[in-house]
Amino acid sequence: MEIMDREIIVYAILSTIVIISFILIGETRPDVYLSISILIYFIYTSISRNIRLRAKLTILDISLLTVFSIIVIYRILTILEWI
Amino acid sequence: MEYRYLLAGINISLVSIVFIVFGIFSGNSIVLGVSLSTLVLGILLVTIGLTYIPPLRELLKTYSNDLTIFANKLLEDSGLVSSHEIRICYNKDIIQAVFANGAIDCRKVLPGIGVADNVSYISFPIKDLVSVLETEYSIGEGVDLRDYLRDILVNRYIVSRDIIINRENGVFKIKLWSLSRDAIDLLNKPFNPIRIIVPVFVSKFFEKNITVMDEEIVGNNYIIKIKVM
Repeated sequence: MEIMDREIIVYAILSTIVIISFILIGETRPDVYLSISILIYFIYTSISRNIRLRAKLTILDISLLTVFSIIVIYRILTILEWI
Repeated sequence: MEYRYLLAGINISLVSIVFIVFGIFSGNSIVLGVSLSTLVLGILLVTIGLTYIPPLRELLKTYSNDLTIFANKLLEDSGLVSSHEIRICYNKDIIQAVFANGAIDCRKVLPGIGVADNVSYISFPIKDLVSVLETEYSIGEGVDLRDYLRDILVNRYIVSRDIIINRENGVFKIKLWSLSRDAIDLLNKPFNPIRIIVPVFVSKFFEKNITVMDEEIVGNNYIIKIKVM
């Protein structure tokens, strides 16, 4: 099996485990699923660098970071009762 | 580009988007959340599919750059950089790209560095590329030069977006229109693959020796004038 195939399968398994865990604990906020998926993406591609070596992920990084920041800001504003 | 990742990514993304829409309209936030997570995986696969670089190809590209530097140094040291003529010497088994500072008889040219009739030359044998041409691009009836070059340079290797060929007084004027970025990068040295492969392909097509009469780069286009001997 190619290295890249293995990396993607491991990432998919990690993502699936986390999603199933959230379903089992009854998490209903969609932004939590999304933000944790984004975190898993960043953490996994930082630890295992094979994906980053073989594909250009700059634009994806910026996009996901932007989405993550928006989610965090939204949550902070919700907690502060500003929205 | 790696099509299987791209295809898998598009499929996963499309299914995710369908479930996102379903989640929004049905008010099921768990389905929405799971679909958003899956969409991240889909987009990652699409990105990998679009930007994947096979590891060996990257190594070969670096090696090829180093070889080009070496070949250009050879040209420089033999005084052929500033004024040289490119001639393609056709032989059934091997085609030679010859850089010489004057007209040269192909029958007296051997691969490597040499002198023939007081004309110094450097001859680069082109063997593997010719084998690829023979096995994958046979020249059948009714195939003209433009179709042949288009098949290889545009459709297969994406050197440029199109090829325009004019013929005047026995000289072929071949224009590689809108070169790709990689091809433009290659053209910045005297000895480079683009200057070699176009006349080599023409030589293979006609199975004759070729002389390069003139070359110019106009914007993103490369124009080469070739005479078939």
